[in-house]
Amino acid sequence: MTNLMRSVSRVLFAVLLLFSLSGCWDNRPVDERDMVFTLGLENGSPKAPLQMVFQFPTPSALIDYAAHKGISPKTSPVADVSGSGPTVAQCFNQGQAQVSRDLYLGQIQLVEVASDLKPDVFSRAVTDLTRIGTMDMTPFMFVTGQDLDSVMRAQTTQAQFPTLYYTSLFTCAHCQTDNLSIKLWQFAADANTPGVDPRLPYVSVDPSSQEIVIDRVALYRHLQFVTALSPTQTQDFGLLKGLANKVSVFIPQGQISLRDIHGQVHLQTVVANGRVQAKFRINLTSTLASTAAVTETPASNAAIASEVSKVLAQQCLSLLQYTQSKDVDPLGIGRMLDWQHPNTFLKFRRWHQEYPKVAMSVQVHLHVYKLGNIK
Amino acid sequence: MNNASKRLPRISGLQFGTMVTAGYMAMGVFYFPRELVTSAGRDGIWGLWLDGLVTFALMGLSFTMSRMVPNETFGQFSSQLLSKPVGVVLGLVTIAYHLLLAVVMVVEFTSLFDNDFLSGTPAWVIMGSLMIASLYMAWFGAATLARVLQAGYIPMVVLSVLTLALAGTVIKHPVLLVPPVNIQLLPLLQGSYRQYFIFIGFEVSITLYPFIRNEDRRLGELYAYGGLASMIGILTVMYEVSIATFGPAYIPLMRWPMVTLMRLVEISGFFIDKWGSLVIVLWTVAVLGFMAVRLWCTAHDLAALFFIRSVGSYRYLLLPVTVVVWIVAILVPNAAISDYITQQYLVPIGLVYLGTIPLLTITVGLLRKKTVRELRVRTEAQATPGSPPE
Repeated sequence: MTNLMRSVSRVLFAVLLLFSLSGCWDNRPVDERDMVFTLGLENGSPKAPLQMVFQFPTPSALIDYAAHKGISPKTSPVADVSGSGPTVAQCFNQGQAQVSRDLYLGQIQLVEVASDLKPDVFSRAVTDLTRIGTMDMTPFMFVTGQDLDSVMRAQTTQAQFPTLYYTSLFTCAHCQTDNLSIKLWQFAADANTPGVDPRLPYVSVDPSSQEIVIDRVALYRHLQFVTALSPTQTQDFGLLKGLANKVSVFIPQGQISLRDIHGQVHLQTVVANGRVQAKFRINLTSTLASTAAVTETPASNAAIASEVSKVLAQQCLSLLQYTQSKDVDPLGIGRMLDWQHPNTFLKFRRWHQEYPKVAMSVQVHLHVYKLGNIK
Repeated sequence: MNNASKRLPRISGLQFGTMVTAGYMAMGVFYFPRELVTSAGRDGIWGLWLDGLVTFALMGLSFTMSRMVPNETFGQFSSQLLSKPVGVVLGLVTIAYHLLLAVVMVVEFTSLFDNDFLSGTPAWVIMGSLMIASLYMAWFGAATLARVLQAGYIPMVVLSVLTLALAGTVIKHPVLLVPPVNIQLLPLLQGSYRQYFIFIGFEVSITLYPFIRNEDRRLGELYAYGGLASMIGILTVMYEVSIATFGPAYIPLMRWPMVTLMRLVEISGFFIDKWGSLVIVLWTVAVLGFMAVRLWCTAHDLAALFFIRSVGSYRYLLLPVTVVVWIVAILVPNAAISDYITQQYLVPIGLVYLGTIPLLTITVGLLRKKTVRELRVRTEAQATPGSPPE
């Protein structure tokens, strides 16, 4: 082979490699795609039990966003189409039939779920979603009891698109009193693990002010929505789950106010005489915001810490008993039992029948770390 | 006449260690640790370490076998030591085994890319790209391939380890990091057996061994052991992070647990947000390395089988091997089928192959010491290590 032939063959080879590796087959310009940012899941008709809403930014809003322009109050920055069917694929087909561009599911940031979504439909939808390879399993999820479309479209002055408001909030753990964020993979893992019930942040929109409120957690039994905890219960839930960031508490006696309560939790399961015990040990730190008496002696601080520890322990215990009354194990006591005492857990055919019988105990060790600006 | 000493330039000890490690690591890493956890649950970590121990032992056996006639590949001296018919059968099995490994690797990787990244690209194109790139890597022989792997494979492994450390931030259940003590032996052994394909492929050493510079051979063995120890360490980290993130109940339901784990790694604010996805794409280097080493070995084993000089015929053998792998891979419809092939054929055949062939050869070698000595003398006299190719 002459030098010329060798050179030509190498160049041809490089060109061939360049073309074959360039991914031309998958090249779709952004302006030829409707990139779905948010998916909505709700009940459909009996023949088409799943209804999906595909929400995507409008082309003009995307251009404005890229140019760092503000939000136009006149037009909605997002559009949506919906489709229904037995599975995600059929819903997608109906959605695609309503738009002129490629309805692209590779950029989904958020999955919103109606609280009345039937468990079997929900289960199938989650499985289908986790099988869409182009979509990784990182979209955030939440549930709402309100009209899904109104929550999906809720506008705030804080973000260009509704999706961005939710994702920026959920991405920032310290922007929430309790870190309630749940991603698709976390929800799917909990939904498929014995001994734990999944949970989701519960979102509501104030009908008059249109403000988005996220301070509650929704509990599921398997994939059946059971209840949404109150904001106070949600704070206690955060303490029990180690999700608390800046919980505050007020004790009327002594006018004690503590803020920035956060810390670690350790769950241990014990089997004694055939009975399961769940022991929560919660170590918290906090800042003393105010008291009736102006004091900063170590003894009085220790007394405050001890008093608040008792109150928080009692609140947490009440919450645990409440979950037992609902036969819901959102804290994964059964799962921990499975990991720590697998033989005992295997004996229970239905964990939900055993869960209400578990003996709960909560120990809280609160440390008043900072004293705030009181003197 | 087709002895390895005539295929200079030879490779260094580190290059040998890198090539042997590249010859097995990519296989099955995408599935990992699904098979272990599906069978053994939380005990899977013990299964992984058991696999590692078995591999250390089998690697030791294969080096002992190679040391008997260090200047000839197993394919070359097996006919003379074990008789021609046995040598031919073993040669055919070795070639078929390398080809099957290559096909399964191509199907696996193509399936992953087709599903997650290039859903619009036909599978034959992805496979074709893989084959062309790995052919190019193998084209210039062992020394060039080894240097390419040193330049591409080692940095990729380092980057993956750093990304795994980042993946540690998504751990949900730290309690699962502690290996369980109440082990159930049978599920553990089952998991260990099913997961063993992650170590299958290191037998490239029996073809590669004569290509190490004579003075570097002991060092080469040490590097291969070191590579194995590193890979067991990396796999341990992979296992621990994935089980403490997803839990033992969810991993068996996942298609590609390690890929999903890496895709969870996001660096908010960094100019590449989905950092883990980028690292998965970089794993292409590992796959190409695996494929190139396989092609290289198959070409040399074919040369040994047909008693032809691989110095001259290497590239002519490499081309048809590449085409065969590409065509057979296209015929396998999806990764579920390749998974079936792995579990039904590759793992059992691999374990028998890796265990019995060195034992048989070493035993026969002990019984036929004179033949071994003659083979050694004959092959050592032919070329001075380090001299230019003839």
